[in-house]
Amino acid sequence: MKVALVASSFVPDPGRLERRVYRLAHGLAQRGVEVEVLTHGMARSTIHSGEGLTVRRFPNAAGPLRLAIAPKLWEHLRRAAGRYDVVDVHCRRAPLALAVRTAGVRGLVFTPGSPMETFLRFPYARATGGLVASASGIICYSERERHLLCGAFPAVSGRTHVVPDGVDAEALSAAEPFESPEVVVLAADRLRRGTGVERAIAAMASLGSGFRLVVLGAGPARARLSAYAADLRVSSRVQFPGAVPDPVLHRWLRTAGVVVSLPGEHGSGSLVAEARAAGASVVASDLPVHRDVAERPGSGHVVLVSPQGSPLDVADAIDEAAQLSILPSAHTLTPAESSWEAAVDSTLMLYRELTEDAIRSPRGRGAGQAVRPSARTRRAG
Amino acid sequence: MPSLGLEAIPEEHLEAIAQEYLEPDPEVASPARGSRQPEPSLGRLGWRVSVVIAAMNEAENLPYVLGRLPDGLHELILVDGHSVDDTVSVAQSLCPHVRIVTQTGRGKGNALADGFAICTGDIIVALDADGSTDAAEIPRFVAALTNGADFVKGSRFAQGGSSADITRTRSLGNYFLNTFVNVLYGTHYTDLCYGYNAFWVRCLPYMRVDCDGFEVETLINVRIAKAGLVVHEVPSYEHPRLHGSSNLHAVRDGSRVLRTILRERLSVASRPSLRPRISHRSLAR
Repeated sequence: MKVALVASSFVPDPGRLERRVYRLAHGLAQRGVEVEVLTHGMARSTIHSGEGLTVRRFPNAAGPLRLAIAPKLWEHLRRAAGRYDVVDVHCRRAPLALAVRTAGVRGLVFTPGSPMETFLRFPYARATGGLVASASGIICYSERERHLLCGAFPAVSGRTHVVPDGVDAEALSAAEPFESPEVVVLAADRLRRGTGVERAIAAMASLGSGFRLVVLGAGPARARLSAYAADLRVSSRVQFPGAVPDPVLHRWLRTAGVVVSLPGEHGSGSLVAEARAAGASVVASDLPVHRDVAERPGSGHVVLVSPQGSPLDVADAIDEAAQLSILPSAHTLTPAESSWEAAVDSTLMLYRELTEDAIRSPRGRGAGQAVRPSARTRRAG
Repeated sequence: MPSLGLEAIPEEHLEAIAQEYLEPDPEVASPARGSRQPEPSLGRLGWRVSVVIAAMNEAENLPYVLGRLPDGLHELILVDGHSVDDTVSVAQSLCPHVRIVTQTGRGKGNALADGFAICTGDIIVALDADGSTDAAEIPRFVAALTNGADFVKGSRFAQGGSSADITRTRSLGNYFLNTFVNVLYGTHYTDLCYGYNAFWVRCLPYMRVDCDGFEVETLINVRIAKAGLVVHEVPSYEHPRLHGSSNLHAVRDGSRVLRTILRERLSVASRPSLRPRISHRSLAR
């Protein structure tokens, strides 16, 4: 079987989507699948092969603009469409997946890389409808995402599957914690609007000097967050190490007494899952995705706070979580319920089903069926 | 100058005060000073409430202000702005347990900062010493705090509030500045420059009162908004000043308020992409 993983970006760029595609590509390659990662790069097209997979990067920059799909990537797909049994598109916006669809590939799988609300709101809802209509399979990160998609497009429920992000429990248990005399409060996210990192910084103002906030990640809001910490007179207790590779992230997760994930609207839950697997207590926004993760068995405690709550509430929750993390039961690593191995196995099983279906029916399962949005979605649009 | 402690107030004056406080005229359209029913005691709420009053030459007004304080207060702090009258002795005679602190600098902002710094309670209430703010409203502020607010603002312009003291010029200036702050910071304040506020002592690190003058209320309100604290507004009635004249100058202090708003807005950290969400709610009476 030959699989193309089309991704809007790929490692070393930081991000959840990039990490997932990386894990998936390597896992599939280890299982004997011929994998090509087709993604965007900056200057010119490059091909890199190694560890059983090929990474092709195509430039999508046109002056100051970033195109949704690199013209050469689309051209490559159009010419090589027949060579791939499955083309799995991982993207944060619908246009890339739509463009891939027009290249005439078979076995199209759509894996939304950002919260489903993004794909279901104006102006993307209509495009998403067309996309899921032609996709042979759709992979959601969580049951809630699937519920949202199927609520908007009931016709695709039979083709929609849930494969949550895995947790690398072995790497986490092997990671060596950093030395820290203070309780480390860890936030790890892209530094942009809506991730709630500023609430964690504000909470530091009412927490004692025994707490230190470590903000991992990079993004356009970094300078402003740093200025905000200075404005609140807490910059001596807030650290910005930037984006770090997974092994360093694992070390920080093992060091942290409390991990915070405080998005206002949409969260992924992956950080919460990893933090719990590392045995850290978690303070998370009270979002459905976080509640789902909190209900899974595991060692790390989860304290939920209102997504619109005040920094004082967040500070109280961090204090409470820190107390829980020093209980004897904490920091005892337990095997994650879903590992990356399980995620790769589930995805591979789905690919095989699609391939077998394609052999039985050349157009693939469900592809080309008309999909109408539900009344609720039409109103929202 | 004779002491103006309670014992020095003429008996007929005390009777007049008692009549005014205890026998309100039900036909008066706007609430007269002290005409409302006494609020419940704070002792039942279980929180230690500190009251901070910044006063400069307010000896004549203090009997009215302190006489309206509710029962159950944890402490009363009077910050003396180098008064040349009997402000301190009047306060001590009326409330023997009052903590007197002489402010280190000049101006209302500096006085409040000095007062806040020595509070030992859980909740701080800031009052004006000229008799315009009714201390009997304190339990309502405390109730709003215990109902989930981090910071409670008195508002003369919220539904149920009003003022018998504000001039048309100051009202217009307040409206303009208020709108300006709401547009710049995405807030929903109805009364930016009113000095009657209550907050949890844990809010102090977010305020960082570091100004001197009457712009202090604006500075606090803006910084509270920037920090994303939960702000509730409580309607309040502003009485006319009893004795003496206000130290507030509409143009001079208005321009200082405007400068404060702009300075806080122009700091890098307050750009909208970072601004936390704020929930406001006016509490009906």
